[in-house]
Amino acid sequence: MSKAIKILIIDDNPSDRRIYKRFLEQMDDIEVTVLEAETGKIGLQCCKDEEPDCVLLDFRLPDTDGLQLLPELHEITKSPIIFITGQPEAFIIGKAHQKGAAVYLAKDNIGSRTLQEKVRSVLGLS
Amino acid sequence: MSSVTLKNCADEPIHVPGAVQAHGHLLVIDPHSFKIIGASQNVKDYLELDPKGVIGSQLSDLFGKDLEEQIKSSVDSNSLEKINPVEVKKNGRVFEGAAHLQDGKLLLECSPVENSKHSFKDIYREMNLANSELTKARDLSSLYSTCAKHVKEISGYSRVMIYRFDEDWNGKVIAEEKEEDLEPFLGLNYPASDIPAQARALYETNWMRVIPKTDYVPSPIVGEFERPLDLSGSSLRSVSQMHVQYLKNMGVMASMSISIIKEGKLWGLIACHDSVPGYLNYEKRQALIFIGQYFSSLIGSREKVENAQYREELRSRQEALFEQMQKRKNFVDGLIEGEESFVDLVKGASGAAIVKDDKIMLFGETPSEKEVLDLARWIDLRMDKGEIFFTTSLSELYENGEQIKDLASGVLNIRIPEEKTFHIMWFKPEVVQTVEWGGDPNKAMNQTGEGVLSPRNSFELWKERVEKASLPFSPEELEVVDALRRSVIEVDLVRQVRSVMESNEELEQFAHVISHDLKEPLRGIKHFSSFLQEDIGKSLNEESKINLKDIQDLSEKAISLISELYEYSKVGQTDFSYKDCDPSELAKSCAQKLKALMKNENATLEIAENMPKVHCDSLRTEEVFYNLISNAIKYNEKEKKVVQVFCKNGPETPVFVVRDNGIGINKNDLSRIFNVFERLHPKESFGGGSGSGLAIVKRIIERHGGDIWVESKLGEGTSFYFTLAPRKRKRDE
Repeated sequence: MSKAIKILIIDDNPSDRRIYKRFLEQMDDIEVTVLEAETGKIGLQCCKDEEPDCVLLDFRLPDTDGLQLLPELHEITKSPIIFITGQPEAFIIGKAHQKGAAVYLAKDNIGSRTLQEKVRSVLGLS
Repeated sequence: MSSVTLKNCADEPIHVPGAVQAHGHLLVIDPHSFKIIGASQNVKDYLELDPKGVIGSQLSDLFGKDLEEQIKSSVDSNSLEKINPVEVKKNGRVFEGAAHLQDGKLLLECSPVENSKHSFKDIYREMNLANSELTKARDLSSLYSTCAKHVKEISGYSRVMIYRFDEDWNGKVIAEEKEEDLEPFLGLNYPASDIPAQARALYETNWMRVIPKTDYVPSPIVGEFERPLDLSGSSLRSVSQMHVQYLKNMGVMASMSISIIKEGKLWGLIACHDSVPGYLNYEKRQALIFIGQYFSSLIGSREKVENAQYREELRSRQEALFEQMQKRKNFVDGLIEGEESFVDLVKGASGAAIVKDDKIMLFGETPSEKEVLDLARWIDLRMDKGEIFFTTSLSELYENGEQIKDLASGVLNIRIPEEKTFHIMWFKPEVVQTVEWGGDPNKAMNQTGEGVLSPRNSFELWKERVEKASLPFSPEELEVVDALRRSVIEVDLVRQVRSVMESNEELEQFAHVISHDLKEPLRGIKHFSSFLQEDIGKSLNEESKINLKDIQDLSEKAISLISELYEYSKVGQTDFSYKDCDPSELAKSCAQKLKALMKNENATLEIAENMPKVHCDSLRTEEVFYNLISNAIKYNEKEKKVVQVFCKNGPETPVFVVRDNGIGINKNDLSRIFNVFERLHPKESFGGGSGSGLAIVKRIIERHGGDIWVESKLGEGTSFYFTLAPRKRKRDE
């Protein structure tokens, strides 16, 4: 039985979104619908409208930064937020946790396996 | 007496003329025996004695025991000046005598006592008045005229001039007191040859010389001396016949001058003339000398005050320029932009230029760019690096000066030494001036038939039109321009140091930003090429498969290179937080992280206990240990790999050591290992890596103010030494 989930990617880089999308769609046992938002604002709206099961949130956004957006997202959704950053600075990660990110992923470390594992883990899927 | 010719006139020894003037007689006395060893010929007239007969007798024989005693005791007590003038009596005549010691001889000069118009009381009164008026003089010009007035009053001479020398020793009459019927000499210039060098030298040591009667007959001195008799201090000294002729040509029958000495150098003369003979007694002479000395000191202080305001103004402007220069990245901008203009530092400068290598900036009215560049190059050739170059008549020195004389007859140039060519120049335009001379200065000396010189006999006003010259540069301007030069050098040095420091910082910032931005597209390349691999990999031919794989590998490599560069740049950028750390703990923490690697490589890590605590950034210091220890493990081919971490030297200057029994480093490679991206071995060997680990380690250590160095033996092992603070003692290895 395949589960259907909606995953929202908030990232301004179309290449990165494409890459994540491919990795996510490769999970055979789960039917993933990938939603994309290229700005924080669109991401917030999308959250409201679509109620995704999981959010991939990039730190660098054109209209805001991930840290600022986090609490705003939390007001809208209870879904887990995976925080993605190109700069795994300790303090950013710490702050992200504080503001409610479930986990973080370093951009350099994103491969199909790591991303899929993280998503499964936050959704409680095997 | 040898005649003075064109050849030797500058050497005429005027202080040893061998004769005295006619208005008194001279006795030369041995200061120990008080025997007379010389006498002027005219003792015959004054003392009715034959000079040869006088020689050999005691002074007391001539003038009595009392006088000899008086003079003797003052010589012995070194207080000869205190007894002058002495009263000398002979044959019913009374003389006033003045004694002085010169060159080991005692000279006694006697003149008949004059019935002068003034008693000593009058002289004293006049002197007091003179001094108080001089003190009260408001400015320099009233100082000069007050001095001339009082000197005329005391001396009775019909013309008294304040005569000032310029830097070439020409003279100019800058103040004058004279009888009404005389034509004025005020403003006239006189060539340097009128008062030749040896006279000026004498005038610096001797304050007054007087010729009461120009057409005197010199009285030779009789006596045998081991060297010519030095009459520098004698008021009866017979003067140069050239000078006598000069005065006669001028119509002067009595002449006297008092030296004006400023800061030890001859500044000018108080020159007095009369058309009739005039004798000055001892007291008058002393009063006049005193006035001359007081006047000299006042000139020094007054000139300082008069210029002080101007100097102060210039100084504060130069300081403003200095501040302007310091604020700008390019100090030249500070020089030319901003409230204070450097051009205005030099009064009367119509234009200025800054020349740097072949670039040139012109301000105001200047010659053309090419002309200024040529001038700068010419100055480079003839100037020492430290000097300021200036001239008010460029065309006399520089062959192209003529064509730019309109705007640049006067040039003031400063150079900044370490730059190849860096000039700041000010230009002054030609100002046609009329200089009035007392007689044609070109005909100052006439040559008669046998090459014998005679002074000119025309002192008529001779006007000289001076062209191709600018107004002069004042000493204050030269001073402030020199100060500007020094401040430019200082600002430039600071700038150079800063720019080296900044460019390092900028490079690091650059690396930081660009590494982050570069990774993005590289990630894309890496992932999309792997997607291609997944999707169509199987249908590709062998070559294409390899190409695709290469794309992936290369992009991976590029990403890791950039990551390392990023790490390296971060070391310089991020803040370090210092606290007291235990190195043993840091090393142990590394051991934890390296557990897997150590097991794999059969490596043991020995960490010394109780290493001294250090004040450092714990995270970065752990990174240092991590890199060194992991290198020690990786670059090792032995069965049992051993890595030791310990400390040398005491707690004062701890030196930490990471030692291994690995492959070692070639002596020639030792200096390269700390370079970024420098690997000594093929890329895949010894665990790969881009080679920036040691560069990062070095940077971290440098930021702590410490040192890192290495000792190694090929095949045996390597030891890395490092400190985490500036060391107080010289390193001992």
